[in-house]
Amino acid sequence: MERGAPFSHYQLPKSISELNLDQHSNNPTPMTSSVVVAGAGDKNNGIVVQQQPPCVAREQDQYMPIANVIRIMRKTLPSHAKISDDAKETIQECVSEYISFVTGEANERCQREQRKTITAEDILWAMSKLGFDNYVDPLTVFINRYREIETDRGSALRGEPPSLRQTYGGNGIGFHGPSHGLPPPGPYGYGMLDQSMVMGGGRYYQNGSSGQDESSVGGGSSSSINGMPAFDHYGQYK
Amino acid sequence: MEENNGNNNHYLPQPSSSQLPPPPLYYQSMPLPSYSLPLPYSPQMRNYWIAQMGNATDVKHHAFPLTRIKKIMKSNPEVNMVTAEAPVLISKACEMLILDLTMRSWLHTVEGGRQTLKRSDTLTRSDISAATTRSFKFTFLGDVVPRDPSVVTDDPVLHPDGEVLPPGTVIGYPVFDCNGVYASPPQMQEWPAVPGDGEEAAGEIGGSSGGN
Repeated sequence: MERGAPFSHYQLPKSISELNLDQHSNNPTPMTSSVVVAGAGDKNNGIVVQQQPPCVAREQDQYMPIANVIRIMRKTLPSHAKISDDAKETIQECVSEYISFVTGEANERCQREQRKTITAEDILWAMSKLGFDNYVDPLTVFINRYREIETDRGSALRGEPPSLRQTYGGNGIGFHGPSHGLPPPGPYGYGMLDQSMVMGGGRYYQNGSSGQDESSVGGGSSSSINGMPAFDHYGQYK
Repeated sequence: MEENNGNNNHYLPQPSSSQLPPPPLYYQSMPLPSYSLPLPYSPQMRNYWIAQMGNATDVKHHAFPLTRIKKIMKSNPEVNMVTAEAPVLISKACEMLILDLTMRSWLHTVEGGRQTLKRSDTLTRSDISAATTRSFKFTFLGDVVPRDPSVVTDDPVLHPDGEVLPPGTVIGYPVFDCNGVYASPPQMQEWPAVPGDGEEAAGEIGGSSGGN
């Protein structure tokens, strides 16, 4: 029950919320992840410590866990930034609205083509149609990598770093063309390092390093390995 | 409320050519946050970090529970079935959305602090409201976040995806003033006559004339 307390942001006074913020800022990322998973498990089991269990249970089911939302928000904010409680809840609501929005658009395409199952391609198509073009290329890279790992699930060792490096290298080959959407590597190298430090974790430092590598390669667009030619039109981020 | 930073800030000028010179008085009167970054909330940097999320090496650890994503997807009665990959993809897309919204909202947080002549470091709902009002692609959030009447929405013709901003915005000018000056939409909305706007105008004039 104590582990559930940090995630009960609803109906709590601001002072306790600030304490929770301190806890989040002090905890390293892996521990936070494990705690989040445990918290989610507790919520899924129906253990509710709120005064209004039914409303909170239903409300929790239609929103993403707020701790996950806050962690992602903090990735991009300066270390001294604070997030008000209404901002956290607003982002939660925006995420659920976004899922419904994209799903509805993808479902319309399925119905027009007389299909019953929404696929990843339908989701990507919906995002490009709804104005989120700059999400499509990174998501294409991500889902291709996900499929590669799923395909090699039986043979490859998932936790082994060399396989991850090979995977990343493979995707790196796909990057080519001028990088209009990316900043020049020289002055941003220092900036990206600071960004990694500000985001507060060695995990994101690797992302920063990866960014530098990409800048040196000059990659600005990605080609689909598994062949989705319909999405090549959004190679540029602008 | 702790304010223990802002004394050792360094501002790195952005290498891309800017039509406006950065206002030195602004940075003297308004200390920047405690990071030394080349304008991390510009559209280029925003797209860069969104792209970085797609390159994450950890594709097995999902940021959000897939069962809950599937439940939200199926809350639409017309949705029948979804493949196993769809919630995985949406989980990553939600990370990008949160990153996108947070960066845009923080831009308004800093701007709001500048207008009230004291640094603001708390992201609030009104900052999110201003950010979602400004970008055309967030129109679908109208039921979730109220519109900010003091912000002009990007014209979808001038800024099709809301990613290309006027140059002044990149160097930290108020978004709506800059939008009105450098890229006015065809149908200019009339500003409401509220005291807040008066204060903003006064602050802006004072800042530009160097009275501060």
